[in-house]
Amino acid sequence: MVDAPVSGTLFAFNVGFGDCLLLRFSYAGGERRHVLIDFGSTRQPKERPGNYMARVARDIRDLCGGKLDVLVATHRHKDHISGFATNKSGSAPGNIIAGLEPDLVLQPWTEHPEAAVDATSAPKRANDMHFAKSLASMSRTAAALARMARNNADAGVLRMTEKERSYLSFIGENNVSNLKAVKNLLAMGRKSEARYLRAGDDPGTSEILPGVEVQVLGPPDITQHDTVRKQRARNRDEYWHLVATASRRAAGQDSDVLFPGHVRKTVPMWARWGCDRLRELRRQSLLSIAASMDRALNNTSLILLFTVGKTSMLFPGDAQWENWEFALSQPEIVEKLKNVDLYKVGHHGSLNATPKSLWSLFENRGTGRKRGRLTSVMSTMHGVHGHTKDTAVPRSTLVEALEKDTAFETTEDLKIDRTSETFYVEVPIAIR
Amino acid sequence: MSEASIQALQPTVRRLTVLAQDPDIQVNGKPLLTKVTVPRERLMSGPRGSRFVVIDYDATTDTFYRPFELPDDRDPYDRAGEMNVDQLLADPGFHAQNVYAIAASTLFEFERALGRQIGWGFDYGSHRIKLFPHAFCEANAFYSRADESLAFGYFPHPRNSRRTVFTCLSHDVIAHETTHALLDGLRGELMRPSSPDQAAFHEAFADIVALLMVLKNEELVAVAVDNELPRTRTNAVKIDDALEAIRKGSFLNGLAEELGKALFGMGRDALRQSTKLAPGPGHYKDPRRTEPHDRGEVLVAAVMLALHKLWEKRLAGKTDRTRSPYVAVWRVAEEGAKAADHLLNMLIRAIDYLPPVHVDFGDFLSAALTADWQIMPRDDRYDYRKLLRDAFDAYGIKPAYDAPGEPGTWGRGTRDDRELDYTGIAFDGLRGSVDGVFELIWQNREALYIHPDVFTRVRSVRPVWRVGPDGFVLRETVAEYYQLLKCASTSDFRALKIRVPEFVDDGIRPDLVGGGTLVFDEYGRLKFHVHNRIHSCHQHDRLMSIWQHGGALQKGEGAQGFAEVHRRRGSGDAVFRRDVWT
Repeated sequence: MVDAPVSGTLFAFNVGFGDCLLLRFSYAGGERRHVLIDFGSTRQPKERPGNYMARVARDIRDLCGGKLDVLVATHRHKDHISGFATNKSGSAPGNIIAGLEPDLVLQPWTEHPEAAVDATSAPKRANDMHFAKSLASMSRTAAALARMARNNADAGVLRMTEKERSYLSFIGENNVSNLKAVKNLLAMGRKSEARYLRAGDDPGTSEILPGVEVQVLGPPDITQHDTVRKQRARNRDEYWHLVATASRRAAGQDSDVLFPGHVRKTVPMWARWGCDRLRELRRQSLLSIAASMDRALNNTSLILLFTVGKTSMLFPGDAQWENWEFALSQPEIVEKLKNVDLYKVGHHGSLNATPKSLWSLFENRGTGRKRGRLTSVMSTMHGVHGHTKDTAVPRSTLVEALEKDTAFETTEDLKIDRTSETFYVEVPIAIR
Repeated sequence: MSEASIQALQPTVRRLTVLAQDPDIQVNGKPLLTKVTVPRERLMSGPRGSRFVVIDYDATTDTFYRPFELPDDRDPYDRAGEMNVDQLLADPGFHAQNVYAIAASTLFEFERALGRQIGWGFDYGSHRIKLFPHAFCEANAFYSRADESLAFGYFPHPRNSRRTVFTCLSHDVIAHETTHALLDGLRGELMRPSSPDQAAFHEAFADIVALLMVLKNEELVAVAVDNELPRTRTNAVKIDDALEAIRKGSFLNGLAEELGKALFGMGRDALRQSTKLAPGPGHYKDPRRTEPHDRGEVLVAAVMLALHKLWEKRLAGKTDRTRSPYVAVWRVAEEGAKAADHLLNMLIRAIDYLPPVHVDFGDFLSAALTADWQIMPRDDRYDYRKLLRDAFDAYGIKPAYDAPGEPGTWGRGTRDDRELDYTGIAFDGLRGSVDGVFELIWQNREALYIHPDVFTRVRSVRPVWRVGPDGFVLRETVAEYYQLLKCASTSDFRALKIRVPEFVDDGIRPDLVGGGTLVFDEYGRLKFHVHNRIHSCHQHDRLMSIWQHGGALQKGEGAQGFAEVHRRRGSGDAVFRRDVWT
């Protein structure tokens, strides 16, 4: 039995817009344990070598010596799990990761196999699984939005700007259920052990990662909400079902004109302004649905706090306020968050995934000379997410604060071109 | 006789066939229909009248449907009772009539209750609102002030893939959206972010009006009675059973599960939610109920409890067990519908007695009590006002004021209860001129708590003429003013003696708003001044609440419209919290 780790290293891969983080714990005597947190991308670096994601996967294999101890998929967004997708020939990045035979696969409770793949099947813990139907509906909605953005008349009729179409397309693609990746995660979990976690659950890592305490701070499930919130959360299933069926129909899959015998070809003068305004309302509406869906899925992210001795590392996936709210309402967790030494910046640096109330807790923030200064690591790519200046990712005000008050590392600093051989930023973690 | 002469002899209103609720509420396999009263006017194709324009355009498929010709002299769907659901669903003409007639009848109810014509709240003063019965393929329906319209979406039926759900065929949805538009016309400042109560009020009031509009339909209430109690061969039920069912809320509970069933996913189940919320004094101030839809549920539940109490009292007063233990189903339904109708009038009238900004539920109760007291000074037959007070109290909502004359009503609202100085003020000016009313306000600025250094504008002056149930005529003038300080700085807060919200120190400058409603009697004397001062000590808490809930602190700062409010109501999303990197 090994003692607690004596040092740690975080390898943050530049996968473009996505997350791929390999956390290494090194023990006295040279033993190492490895945790892979997410592996996905929606926009890979522009000038990248061929088969880029497979190269990254092989890099992961080499770094962990052919064996992963724990695999974490924080949530189902494509930019977090697309790298787990497999192919029949066995050459896909997901096949390489599967070959690393992780001992434990951790995912949020919303991905429970009895509900995640086939959302209509009856889950065992009915209360806990309530959100799963919503997830399946969101996935269908996402597919419809992506189709609309690509080629459907709706997007054309509404005269969306290129940026808006691109945003809709991004959200659509990112939220579509990545079935191959999901199945691979499931298969890896079945082969060893899988846990589908909610806030406060035991992740089962104590033997696999000796001397490392892993605490699950989120997501809460519905039973952990108060009664008022519970009721609202339960209505979600039906709401997203309606959104999904309406979006599919709007995307032209099911039907078209409501009353074919009553169509008039020209819009009369008295109705023209009203019709123009209605198209504008519809345009705003589609963008709003996309944002709402993206937010809901981000809030299913696992939030994990790793602690070794007095050193702690926070990995929040893409969690936003609704997910954080539960953790930040608990005084003992708030106490622990004060001492975070390494912070993986939430949701690629968006405006609302690092709540200011969380940021203000970090006591290790400070300028360059501060001892034990907080390290922050961001995996992002400018110009991909957000269709307005106000929603652009990463958020410039947050980046300024990170640069000023933390030892800041971003994957964007590592330029990738066709000749690149190193795909990750290496961040040493001193164990106190 | 010329056509114009014939028109002149027509009654001023007409009755049009609409769905009593929606296509799912059926009797003998046919959708339950009813007739609603709307003002008579010469319509153009659409239909297009002086207040409503129906535009049948679908933005999802970019399709314009032929405008519907609604004849002036007859109801084309007089025999729609013979049509089945599929025929109604496939007939865009019926959809156009349904949306037009229910919206127009909602306006008619408001104008009848308030005793005057009501305008819309559009920024450019348009007289007509646009109704889009098939706006887009989406599970949403909403009012948009900027677009001067009510948009009704459609979507595939959640449990029947061959059917489409049309929100333009839901009586309560149409009444709800029309109420948003009417309330915006009456109290335009209520769409500003303020306290959690104000955010909840617009939505809750629209729910209340929509539910009471539906429940004042006797045929529909009879269906609810039929579903709950066994009836005799002579269409009667036991009196004790009926009273017990009303007390327990069984009729409405049963109806709640049917009413708008296809729209539950949109969060449009106000009756269902309100019937689930058992009375409890802690509900109103429950700190978990800060989201507008959660908080609004408390107000809707209090009104539904009041409806049950009124219904029970009315029915008990109309039956005599010593003569027969039975009562006709129509009588039970009629008393329920009448209770709903009375309550609807009472609560619509309350709008004239509300402060123009920063409304809370206690204000609404005091306004309703005052409005009813003014038109029905005696309340001894059914104790409407007492029952309303009791119902609100059961949910922890107390009147905002308690004047000595009548419990829970407004007082005069002037400094030291003083009379105003009318020297040099023309009576005619107070009946219809914003400048005339402003002159009075300026002359009495101290008595009316007006801060003289802040922009002040009289927004409206509205003479009203109301007739009470006993024929009593009430003439009043209702004027509404507001005060605005744009982009208030720390020193402005200090000058107004308001505690400075923390975010102002970070350089964020909010707009500060206050205002009042002045109710004058028929001789131009002030009866009530219902107000929230711009320099009120509550401003700090309100602004902090807006800040924490991500509301706009300045006009035009991206305030979310009802499209988003309604979407959140369905999705259960929490209101966006301002804990972000701006």
